[in-house]
Amino acid sequence: MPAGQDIGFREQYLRSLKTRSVGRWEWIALRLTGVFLVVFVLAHLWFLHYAKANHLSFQDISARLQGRRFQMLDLGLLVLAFAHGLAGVRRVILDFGVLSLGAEKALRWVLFVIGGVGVFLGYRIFEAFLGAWGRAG
Amino acid sequence: MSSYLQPITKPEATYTIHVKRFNPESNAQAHWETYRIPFVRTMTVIQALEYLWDQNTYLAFRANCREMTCGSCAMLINGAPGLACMTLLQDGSRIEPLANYSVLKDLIVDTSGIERKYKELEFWPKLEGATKISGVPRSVLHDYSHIYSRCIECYVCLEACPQSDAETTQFDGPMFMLQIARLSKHPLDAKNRPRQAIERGALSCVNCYECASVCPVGLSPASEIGKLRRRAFTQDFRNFWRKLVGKEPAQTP
Amino acid sequence: MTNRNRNLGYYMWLAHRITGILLAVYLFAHILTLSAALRGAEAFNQTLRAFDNPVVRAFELGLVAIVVFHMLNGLRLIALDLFPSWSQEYLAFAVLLISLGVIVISVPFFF
Repeated sequence: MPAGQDIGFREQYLRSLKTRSVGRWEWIALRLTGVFLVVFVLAHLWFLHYAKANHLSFQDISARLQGRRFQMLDLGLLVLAFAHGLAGVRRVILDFGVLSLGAEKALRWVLFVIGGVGVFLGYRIFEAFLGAWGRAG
Repeated sequence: MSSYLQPITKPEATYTIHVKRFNPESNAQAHWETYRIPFVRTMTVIQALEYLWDQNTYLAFRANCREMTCGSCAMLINGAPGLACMTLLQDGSRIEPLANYSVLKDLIVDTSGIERKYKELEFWPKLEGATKISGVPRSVLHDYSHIYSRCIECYVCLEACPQSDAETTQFDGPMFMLQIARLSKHPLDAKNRPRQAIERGALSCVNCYECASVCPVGLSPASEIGKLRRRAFTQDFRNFWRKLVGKEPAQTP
Repeated sequence: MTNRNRNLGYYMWLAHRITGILLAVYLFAHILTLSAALRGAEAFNQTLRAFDNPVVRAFELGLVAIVVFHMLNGLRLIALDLFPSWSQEYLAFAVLLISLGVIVISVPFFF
């Protein structure tokens, strides 16, 4: 519900510009990563589920990931998915308009950390598949 | 009041309406009141409110032209923002003031914030430097008056937009974007309107097109926002390219 | 949050946000389940076998539905940004129809 405006309108507006307004880079980044994700996700779904019809195993994935293109596909998907997903989550949270300036900055760091952890974990899994080729497991 | 209203001599039915009332002097909370209105076919919400005045129930509301021209009577009718003068009365209608703004009394809301924004946005053609525009003036090629000047500034789109309200000022709202679009077509206006639109939060629009669906005069502010955004980015890319190849940035926005 | 009729574009936006959040949550869950690979091939294959039942398959099909909708509506939003005069309702219907088509075609791949 709207509250009384004790500070001037101009001051309110300038403050809000520093917090929740959608920046040009954020706006473009969401769309650019989204477009690339369309390709990467479709390829991922195709190779993993539709082409193989769910007969997957550690060895199958390991064999597939020996190919350079598949490596780029999976790693690219990992980074893009986290970038697009976390940027989108940030937008949803900020659009509620309840965070203060400090909380918004904190959210940015939290999301970066989560993204970093996620990408790191994903890369370790990627390595695990790569390193096991040729061994029975 | 009753000079505007035909006396209801042969009502077809009696309708019940619920109105959210608030008196800043007497009660602290807004509360719903129920009234019974004699109904004739094609009766509008405004006529119901006027009937109440005739019965000495002095419910505060804004109204003027009663023909969708002045934009004064915006309110929430059954939860949907609309003009009271063009909404037909239904049995059990719930009438309340616009939710995005502070209530002054009954159905009247505080629109001073909107009026202040007009000043901030400089809604007049910026004349300095206009003579330096080369080529054919934009509006000679495009007759815009029948499109943009239809806006009656009723604030219904501001109410319907999920990204704009009176408090968070990151996005001024669809109506202001429409005004910016209108000014951008003026031949004497030299201000960079697409850039102004971005600065006033045009990127916050999520393309839900609620503004277009509630507009009483059939305008589509969301489409105008999209066009302004596209022009802003085209400007940026063009200037970036010009800077890259060593040319001066373009003069005409 | 009033109950009133809103246009299709509004619900598409709402669904886009909701599917987005669901997909972000799924992204984490996916990485976590895949982390079985860190414990070796047998642990991973065991996890895959545990997931090889109709309930999980149905969930995966639902996931495909969510992904397809979010993807197509995202493309619709980009189309509206690039061509603001296109009809957002036509595009919305196209998104819903194509999503339905893809889901229907995908059923034999999962069951």
